[in-house]
Parts: sequence; C-alpha cells; structure tokens
Amino acid sequence: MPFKVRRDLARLLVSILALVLPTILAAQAGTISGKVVHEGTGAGVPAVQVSIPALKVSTLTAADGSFTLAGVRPGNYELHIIRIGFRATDVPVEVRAGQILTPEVKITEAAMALDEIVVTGTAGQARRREVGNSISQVQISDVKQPVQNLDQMLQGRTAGVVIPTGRADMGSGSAIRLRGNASLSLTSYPLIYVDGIRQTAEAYSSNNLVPNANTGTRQGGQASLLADIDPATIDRVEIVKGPAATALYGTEAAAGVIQIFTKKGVTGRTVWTFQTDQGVRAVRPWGSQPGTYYGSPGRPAGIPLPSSPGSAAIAAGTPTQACIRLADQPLIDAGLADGLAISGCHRPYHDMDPYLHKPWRQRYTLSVAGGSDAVRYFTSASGEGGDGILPLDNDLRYQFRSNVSFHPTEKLNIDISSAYSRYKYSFTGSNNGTSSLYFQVVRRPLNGPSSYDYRILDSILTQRNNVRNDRMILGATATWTPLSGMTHKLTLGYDDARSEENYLLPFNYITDRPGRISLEKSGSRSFSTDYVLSQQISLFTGLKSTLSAGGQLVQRDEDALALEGAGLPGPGEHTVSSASTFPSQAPVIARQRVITGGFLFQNMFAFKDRYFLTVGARVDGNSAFGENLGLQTYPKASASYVISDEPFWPGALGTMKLRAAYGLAGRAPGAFDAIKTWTPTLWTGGGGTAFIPRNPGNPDLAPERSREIEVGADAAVLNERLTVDFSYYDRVTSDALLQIARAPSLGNTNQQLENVGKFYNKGVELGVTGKILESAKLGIELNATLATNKSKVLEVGTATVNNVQVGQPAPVVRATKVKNMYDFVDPVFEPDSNNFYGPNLPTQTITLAPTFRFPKQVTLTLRGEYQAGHWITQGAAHFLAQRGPYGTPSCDEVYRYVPWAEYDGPPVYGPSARINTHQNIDKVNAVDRARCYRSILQSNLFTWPADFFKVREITLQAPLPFRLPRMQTAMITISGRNLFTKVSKRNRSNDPDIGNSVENLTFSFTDAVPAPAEFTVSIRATF
Amino acid sequence: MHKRISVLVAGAALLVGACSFDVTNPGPVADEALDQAGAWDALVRGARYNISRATSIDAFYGAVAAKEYSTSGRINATKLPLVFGQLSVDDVNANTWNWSQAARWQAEDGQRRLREVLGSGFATNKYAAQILMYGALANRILGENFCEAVIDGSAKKPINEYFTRAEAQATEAIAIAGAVGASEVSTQRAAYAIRASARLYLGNFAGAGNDATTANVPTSFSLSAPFDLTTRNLFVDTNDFAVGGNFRASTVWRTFFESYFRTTGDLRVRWDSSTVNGKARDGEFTGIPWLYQRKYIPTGTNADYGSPIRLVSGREMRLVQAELALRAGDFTTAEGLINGIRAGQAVRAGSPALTSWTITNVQEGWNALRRERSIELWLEGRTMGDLRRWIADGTYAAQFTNGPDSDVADRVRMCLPISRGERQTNSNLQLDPDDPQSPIYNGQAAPW
Repeated sequence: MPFKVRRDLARLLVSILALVLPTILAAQAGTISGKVVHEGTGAGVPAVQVSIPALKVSTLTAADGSFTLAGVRPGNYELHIIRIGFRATDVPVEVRAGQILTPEVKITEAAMALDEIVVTGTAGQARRREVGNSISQVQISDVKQPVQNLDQMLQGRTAGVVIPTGRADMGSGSAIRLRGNASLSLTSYPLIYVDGIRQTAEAYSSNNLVPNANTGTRQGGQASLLADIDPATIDRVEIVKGPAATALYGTEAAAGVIQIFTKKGVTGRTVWTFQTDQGVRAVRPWGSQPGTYYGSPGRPAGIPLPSSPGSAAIAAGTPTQACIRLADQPLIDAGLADGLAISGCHRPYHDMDPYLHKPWRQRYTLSVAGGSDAVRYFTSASGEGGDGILPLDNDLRYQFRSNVSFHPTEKLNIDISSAYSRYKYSFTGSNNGTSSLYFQVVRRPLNGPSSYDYRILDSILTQRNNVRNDRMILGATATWTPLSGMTHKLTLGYDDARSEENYLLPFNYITDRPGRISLEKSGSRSFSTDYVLSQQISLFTGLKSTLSAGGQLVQRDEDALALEGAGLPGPGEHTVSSASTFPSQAPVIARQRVITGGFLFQNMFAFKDRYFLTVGARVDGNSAFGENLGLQTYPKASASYVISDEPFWPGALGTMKLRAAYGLAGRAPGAFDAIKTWTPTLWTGGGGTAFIPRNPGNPDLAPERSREIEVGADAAVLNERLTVDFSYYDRVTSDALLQIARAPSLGNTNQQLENVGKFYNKGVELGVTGKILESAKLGIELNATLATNKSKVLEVGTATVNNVQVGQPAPVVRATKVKNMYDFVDPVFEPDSNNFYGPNLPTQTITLAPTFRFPKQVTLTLRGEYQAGHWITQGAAHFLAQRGPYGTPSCDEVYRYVPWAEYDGPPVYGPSARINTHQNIDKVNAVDRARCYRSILQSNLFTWPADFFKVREITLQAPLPFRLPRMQTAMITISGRNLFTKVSKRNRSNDPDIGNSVENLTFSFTDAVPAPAEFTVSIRATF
Repeated sequence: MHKRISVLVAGAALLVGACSFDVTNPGPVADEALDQAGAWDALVRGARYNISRATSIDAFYGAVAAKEYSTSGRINATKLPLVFGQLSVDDVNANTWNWSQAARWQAEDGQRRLREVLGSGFATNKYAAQILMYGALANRILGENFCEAVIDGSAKKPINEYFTRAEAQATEAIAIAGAVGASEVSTQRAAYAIRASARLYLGNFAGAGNDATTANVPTSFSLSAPFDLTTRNLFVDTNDFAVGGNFRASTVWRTFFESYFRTTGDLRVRWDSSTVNGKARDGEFTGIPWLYQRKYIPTGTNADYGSPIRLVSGREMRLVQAELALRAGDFTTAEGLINGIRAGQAVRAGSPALTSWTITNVQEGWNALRRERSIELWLEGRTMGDLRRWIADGTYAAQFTNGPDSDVADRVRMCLPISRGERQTNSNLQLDPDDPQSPIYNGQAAPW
C-alpha cells in the first residue's frame, strides 16, 4: 500500500509539473496571437499556414482567421504566411519576452498560385509551376452551396468533368466521366484516393464485383462509395483527367484520378464547428404538358371521353386533361376494347403524381479542430436523413472522421486518419421490373396487376427494399525528412466497404402471389501500401534535380453472397430460409482477390525555377493479366515553362505558364477474364450441380493502354483579375478490351475479352475566372468553363458491339431510323435496324457561374450547365406505344392530334390505314407516326437528342444576423439545386441528366423518376 | 548520396520483381480440374443441362413451324404466322442454334477429355457411356431441328453429319453401357432409341428396326429433359401462368389439336382457356383467343416451370416399328402398333375412351401414323423433323392426304436456320450467299 501511495504521488507531481512548466517557460517568451484577413473583403481566412521559418514553428489559422504561436523566443523574425489560392506573404515581427503581439495580416488572392503545392499525378509533391499537366482543384471554401456528397460538390465546376444528376430513388449514385469514356467495355470511373489511400471500389453492389452475384431482385440504382466521404470533412479535391497526368498510378488510372484531401487539425485553441442543413426536395415536371385536342370527329359513337365514360366524340379544341384526374374512375368501360378513350391527356409527372412526395431532410455536422505544435487533430461527426421523393424512400446516414498529425521527432511527421460511415436506406422499386412502382404506374393498365387503379397499385408498396452500407477507411502516412532535400513518404491504407441488401415481396404480393425474399451481401476490402522517396539535388547553378522513386502494392479482396427464395409460407417476418423454392438462381457465394503492384520513378529537372522537365515511368504487375504477359510499363514526360518569369516578359501581361505532358496509363481486365473456366451450376431439375462452360480464356490478355498528349497554358492577366486555364488533349486507347464472340459451334457461347480495340478522345478545355467588379463592398466574379470531347472508334477487331462501331463515337447511339423523320408524311425506314444517331456522351459542355458579392459578406452564386451533342435512348417507351391504351407519355403531344386509340390495324410494322386517313394525320411527322402507335419493330425509335441546360445551383450566403455566446463566425446559406431544366425541343422523354448507374458504359433512360430539385437552408457556426 | 538512392531504387525494383501476382480465386472452376474423376458427375450433368436448354427452345420454335401451336403474344414468339414462307435467321431465337451446339460440343468435349484421362478404361466407364449417349442425343436434336450441320467451326455440311455422329456415339454408348452392366441399362436403352431415330433419317431402316425392339427399348421406358425454376420449360415460361403474367405468347387456337382435344378429350394434347391464375384474355395480338396447352402445366403453379420434356421413349419406338411396317407394306402390323399406343390412353373426365383408328390400306396407315406421332410427341420437338424427313423421302407427297400440318408443308422449310452469330463468327461460313449480312449475298431469300 505505501508503495502505491508513493507511486500515485509521483504521478501527481509529474502532472502538476507538466501543467505548470510550459507556463513558466512561456513567461520567458512571447506570444503572437494575430489574425489573417482577406485583403478585399476583410473577412478572416481559415486554414492559412503561419510559420516562423527561423524557429521551425508553424500553425494554421482557425475558422475566423485567428492564430496563436505561443512560446516564441524573443527576437526579430519573418512571419511567413501561405495558403493555397493566396499570395505568399512575409511579415516582420519583433517578439519580446512576456509580450503578446496581435498582428493583422492581409493576404491577397493569387489568381494563379504557381507556388502552391499539388500532389496528384506526381511522385511526392510538386509546386504547381513544376507540373506539366493540367490539374484541377476544387476548394471546399469556394463551394458556397451546402452539398450532400462529393458528386454534387464537383458537378459543373471543372471543365471536362461530366457528372449526371442521376435519379430520384434513394441511394443512387452518379456516374463520373473525365474526358469521355476511357474504356469500351470496362468501367470509365476514375480512380479515387482519399488522403493518399486508394478507394476500394466504385459502387456498392457492384455488377462487376463478382459476376452473377446479384439476384436480380434489386430494382434500384447503385450507391456510390463517394457518398461515404462527408463533404464537411473535405478540404480540397484535386482532379487529373487522363494518362498524361496519371501514368504514375499505372494499371488502373486510364480514366483519371480524383484525390480527396480531408481537413487537418489547427494549432492553437480548439475550434468547434457546427453546421445544420434543413431542406426540402420536390420533383420538377418532366413529362408532357397541357395542350389542346384537335378533336376526333371520325370516332365511333359510344367511345367515352377521358373525363366522362360513355359520352360522345371529343370536340375539336378541347383542352387536354391531366391523366391523373382520372385516377379514381374506370378508364375502360365494360365491353369496350382497349380503353380507346384515354390517349390525349397530359402527364407532367408520368402519372406518378400521387406517389411523389416533398420530403423534409436534415443534416447535422459537428467538428472540432485544434492542437499544439506537436499534435494536431480534426474530428467530425455528422448525421443526415429524411424521407425521399418516392413513398418508400428514406435514409439515415452517420459519418465520423478523425485525423491526427504529430511529430515524434523534428524530422518525422505522422498523419493518422480514420473514417467510418453507415448509410441505411430504403427505396421504392424502380427500373423495368414487377416491383418497380414507376413501371407499374406508367404502363397501366397493361402492367403486373392488370389495373389502372391507384388503389390497387398502392399494394405494390408493401414491398421492402432495405440497404445498409458500412464503410471504414484507415490510413497512416509517415513523412521522414532525414536530410535537407530528402523525403521518405510511406502511406498505409485500408478501405473496407460492405453492403447488405434485403428485399421482400411479401406473401400474396400483387404481382408475385407466393412472395419473394432475397438477401445480398457484398464487400470490398483493399489494403494499399505506397512508398516514395524524393531527393532534391543541386547539380549546378540554376539547375536542380528532384529524383523520386517508390512503389505501390494494392491487394483488393471482394466477396458477395446472394440468396433468393420464393414461396413464402404466409404473412409475417421471414428470412430467405422461409422460402419454399429458389426461383431465379442458386445461392451465390463468391469471392476474388486482385493484386496490383508497381514500381515508379520520376526525375524532375528545374532550371532557373522556370524551365521544368519531368520524366518518369511506372512498371506494373497485376494478377488479372494473362499468364503469358509480363510486367507493363507506363512512361510519362512533361515540361513546364513559366514564361512570365523571363526578363523579357512585360509585367503588364501578368503571369503565364506553358505546359505539355505525355503519359500512358492502363485499365486491367477482371479477375477471371484471362482464365479458361467452367461454372458449377446448381440444377435441381437435373439432380445436382452441373458444369457448364464459362470463360473461354486468353493467356495473352493485357491491360488496356491509354496514351495521352496534353498541351496547354495557364495565365493570369489584367492585374490577375482574369485567369485562363486552357488545355488540349488527345488520348488514344489501344489494346482496348472488347468482348469477342466465338462461333457457337465451338461450344462456348460466352464471349471472351480480347485486346482488339482502339479509339481516341480529343478535345479542348477552357476555364476562365474573371473578376468583373472588385471593391471592398461589391464584387462580381464570373467562372466559366468550356469543354469539348470528340471520340472515335478506330479498331474493334471482330467484336460486334452495338454501341462500339469503327468510325463512330465511343460509345455511339445506334437505333432504328426513319429517313424522313420530321416530314409530315408516312415514315420511310432505313433498311438497317441500327443506324447512326450520334455520341452517347456530351460533345460540348459549358458552365457559367457568376458570383455577386455584396456588403457585409453577402454573396449570391448561380451555376448553370449546358451539355450538348449527345443522344440517349429511352428503353421502355415502345412497350407503352405498343400496348396502350394510354400510349407513352413521350407521345402525348402527338396523341393530341391523332389519339393512340385511332390505331386499330393488324400487328404489322407500321401505321394502320385508319391513322393514315385521320383528319389530323398531317400534323404528325413521320418519326412520330412510327413511334407512337402500335408497332412491333421500331422498338428503339425513342432515341432523342440529349442536349439540355440546367440551373445546378442558386446560393445566397450571408452572416447570421445574431451571435450566440462564444460564437466566432456564423453564416446562413439558402440554396436551390436543379431548379430549372431546359431540354431540346425534339426531346419528349425523361430528363436526359438522369445518366445511368455508376458502372455503366453508356448513359440511358431507365424506368425511374429523375432527380428532384432541392431547397436547403444551412447554418454554419464556429465556436 | 547517389549511391544510397541507387541502392534504394534497385531494392524497390527487386521488391516489385519478386512480388507474386499469382492469385487463385474460388468460384469459377479451372479447366484442368475437370480432368479429375470427381468432376465427371457434374460434367455429364452439364451435358444433360445443355440438352434440356436446347430441347426447350428448339421444341418451342419447331412447334410453331409444325403448327403444333400458334403465336398469340409478343415475347419469345416467332413471326411465323405473320411472315409466311420461311424460317429466317430473324424469325428464330439464336439460342436454338447456340444451345443445341453447346449441348453437342460439351458432350463431345467431355468424350475427348475422358478418353485422354481414362485411356483403355474408357471402354468400361459409366461416365463414358453416359456422355456418349448424351452426345448422340444432342446430335439427334441438331439433326431433327436444323437445316445444315456445322461441327466445331467447320463449313456447312449435309444434315446427315449429325445423324452419322449420333449413330456412332450411340453405338459406342450401347457397347460401353453393356460392359458396365446393370447400372447403365437406362443409358443403353436410351442409346438404342436414339440410334433408331437417327437411322430412320439415314435410311437405315433395317438397323432402326433392330434398335426399336421391345427388348431394347420397352414401351414403358422414357428419358426426359428435366427443368427447374432456373432452366424452365419454355412452354410454361412463355405462358407464365404461375404469376398470372402478361406473356401468353402461344395458343392452340386453329391447330389440329384444338379440335382434336375438343372431340376426344385425349389428355396427351390437353389445352384450356379457363382461369389458371388470373383472368385469361386475348393475346397481345387482339382477336387471337388464348388457348393454352396444359401438357406441361398440370397444376398451374411455379412448380410447373420444371415440367420435363420427353426426349426418348418406348412408345415412340412402337411408332417407329409401325412406320417400318408401313414401309414394308404391312399396314395390319402398323395398325396394331398404333392402336396399341392409343389403348388405355387417359382422357378428359366425361369423355369416352379413345377409339382405335381403322386402317385398311398403307396410305391410311401412313396418315394414322403421322396423326398419332404428332399427338404422342406433341410439343416434344419431334414433329417438325418428322415432316421434313417425310417430305425429303417423298412419303409426304405420296401418302399424306390431310392431317395436323396440312397447311404448312408448302410454305415453311421444316428446319431451323444456322444462327446469325455462327455466320458472323465462323470464318468458314462468312461468305454465305444466302446470308443478307454477307458481302456476296445474292439478294435471294434463303432456301428455307
């Protein structure tokens, strides 16, 4: 016992000394407790690095721009102030013992910050002036809009980045394209890094994860892994769009790299940040609009009007009625065939009106940042949730992140990060399936329940679709600087994404009376190791060399389990084991591992700090390569020339950097693609498991290789009030993987991936930022981007892929075509069933984002995006045109002239004689005559120009007019998103911005409601 | 310093070079694994699996061509009733060819594998007997249903190539099954029946007669293509009774079997138009009554997706014997054999027992035989082949007066075409003047 008391006393003494000693020491030193403010607005600037190089001490400013450097030895120093996007500033200070200095440092924005540090696409890190390729950066501080995920944060902000808004159903993520499609058969999703840790997959429930792992019960979109990154924790995002910049990422980087940097701790006092977003969502009408009937005098007596069954013919000039008004009355009188009455009404919401909600959503985020010179930390927690647009949609998301940085020694810095998120959501079935609400509504009454009646369709909503996604990311980076100019950087990362999906069509479900239940679990885990050594050497006066070398090893393990059963014993709560049969497929339990490893080196030569030449290469191996294939090499070279640093450059011309880059990157095939395999198939009818041929195998299978040349210039002129970022790129992908069909008589009808394709993407990207008006009280800034993309397929070998054709865009939209589309005569069809329409991805994208700054830190930002030049096919409309009695909403405007029901001909391949003799037939053009009536061959005529303009964002931000105790800053933001969409006049389909699932090759329509408009009020305060 | 860096770089390179990228993933089974005896049960079952898939789709399209059925809906229906004259590659689902070829290839590839692994043991191995029998069956199915033969990417060959292969493989199967013993009696009986059918096409009537005896193939014997809720009998799937669905793609309306079942109640050609699960209605093409077959949907539930389709039977062999008797001019023996099949056949409740056909000459015998074969083998994928065989050897023109198929023989070639996929990927077929996709297309309709 005495021993324990002594030990406790000793501990107490040490604790007291630990508390008191710094105070004693501090009393002999000085303190700098200042503030960094914006030169133009006077507002405090957060996350500014404030350092005293002579003492090797530094800190970051808090949210209000304040900072503190305590314990500064008395003396005269230079206070060095740097922040990305601002000019570096040095301020002389004199520190006296016991004195507290309170300097206010004004910093000015650097339109073109050539000395800011970037890391993506280069080994180690580099100053922007040294980099020969385009690198885009999005700062969270520039994003006024309260965004819910990274997709929203990046949408419409950077030239060459296309992110469709997606669809309304809960949990759906968006596809991302950087400079068009990077592959013709594999995913074109870019590689994602979070604080240097490679993201394990692209989407939950990946169709590519393990083939055939999905039971098919899922009738919704795919959730993106990007949504797991809490936007409140993001500091900035760097985007490099092609192989010219991504060569050092190797085999998986042909589609570009997006690197996310999360917030770090700030030296000084603890700062708490609280943010809440409160908002409402509402779908804007996307279907047909009101019009006027031209009448149908030839209609036989006794055919009912839409509004009053049993009455006489519709008079000319009758306004259309909304179909929805007819929801509670029979559309088809007994004894009348095919509901002749109904076509001609309008459907702004495709008859989904009763099911579209305007839900309230809310989000809360609390973060804390602080630390000392030795240890800094940032921790954030957030919760988000609410109902969705569709009746079964709701979600709840929790996200946690913690970043800690510390210096065990003066030469060693360690960053440790951890993040966890859980996303639980339920959604209403969509797509083309029996449990899809949209499908059953828009196709009524020829739908699953054979009913038009919403009271019956309501029973579809007894389905349950519940998903839970769990994500954990752990990472550690050690940066060791043993010698001046030498840096070792080691990053270890672990990313674990898991999904569990439960689907239920209960016993006695309206379209599946026995009931159906399924469980799908999938997981993807990556362990990644990166090491880079950089050594800077001065070769002779003015010439420096920075050599970097290192390696990367990524091991990804994926697994999936899929169970589906039918024939439930009765009402109640069930698991799959309650089912009596397994209707669709046997249980699937699958797993696979893919290993990628590479060695990289890079040497950057710098002469006079304005001529830069970088050469490098990565050598990769991958477990999915064919057995005959060795390591693959991806070289790179780039040059940068800061011409404005030349003595001859007139200062009035501002700053300019010229750049050029060349590089190769790849895209690996899937884990099993190279191997000849057989599938064990459970065949209960045959009494056991059967082997059937699976993959023919290809021992020479290699990765796709994309080579890109990029040239461009960055300039800041007019006293840096106008910045221009221009790039031209030319990317050629060779050895493109395409599925090659074999002769069926060779036994295996499955196709084999072969390196037979070649295609290119080329285009220009222009980003302009202009400060039209800049004063202390008022400011107008305009951000604009222009991007073009032209792609062409050059070779396909013997592959026969409908949307990949030699001489045409990659991918191309091909479909049945009417020669005389817009003539008001009978259609004349092209003889081939697949005719060229145009590219599937936009060829031109323009964004405009003016920001107006008013007194008292009030800002108004608008952001619009225009995409054009592409086509999109609507898959389901032809079914409705075939079946009636509504026809398809895409033809409502046509039915105003000649109702769907006027068609009564035989099931042949074109309009009937009766249509042709209708008095208004001359108001219906050829393609609509072919599209809109019962016609069984022209299934893909619903192909539309996909041009659109969309108001992505209108955001008003202002300081909160009141302050709570201890509150430092407080801003209120009112924002609207997707408020307005204008599509081509010749497009009568869904919102073309609906895109497709995360992994899909092409953009197309599905039986889904487009993404809603969102209105959000956000309050953000720091304490 | 440079030395230190060089060492590090070299070390890193060595490290990567030493990394093993060999990964063995579970799930799909590597080809080599099938060389092991433990895999052969599943290998043989795979051959049978492909035969089930092929049978279902071949029988469906063949049924439409042979007027065993008519199209009434939109999904999986041929356009045969709409476009008269031929079965073109556009009219028929490519899986008829693909799955039939897969069935042949897997059985013959399995034979090759077992021969290599077993050596002399092949002659006494039960799996060898089974996979030879399934190979023979797959070849018989191809021969009965398709217009030309293509083997492993070859050029087109006469259709008898399939029957020759079927005969050879059945012969070997019979011998090996006999060597194995009692456990492979069914394999041997099936092989006899397959060889008998093949020999009919090859014109080896004596050989067919020797195979089709009661001793080789008892009347009660049968071998069926099984299905389950995954593979699904297409006749049930396209009608989609169990879920009250929308497909309803075929109807017995205006076929011989519509009236025959009305008048006799013979349950071998059972159809219905009343409610199974949900309201029966006209098909997609307005005005065509939906009379759905009930041969394969006895219960109208999900379980009926697994209704088996008969491939080989002793009852068919009796009709083979009847045909051979007619070819020999013995209509009395044929009458006994045909009516023997009708005797005791189940009929609809309330209907009188089936009456025997009266046969007083050879021509009546042929017409009775054709009628009875079409009834006995209804929707089993055999009738189209029968018609083509009889047209080819002159029997049709010489003997038949009227019957279940009276209006099809003149306008539809009784076989399914080589798929477009085979034409596009088989270098020996690409320059086909009959193929509209071919650069030397002669602008003429294909001769089928």
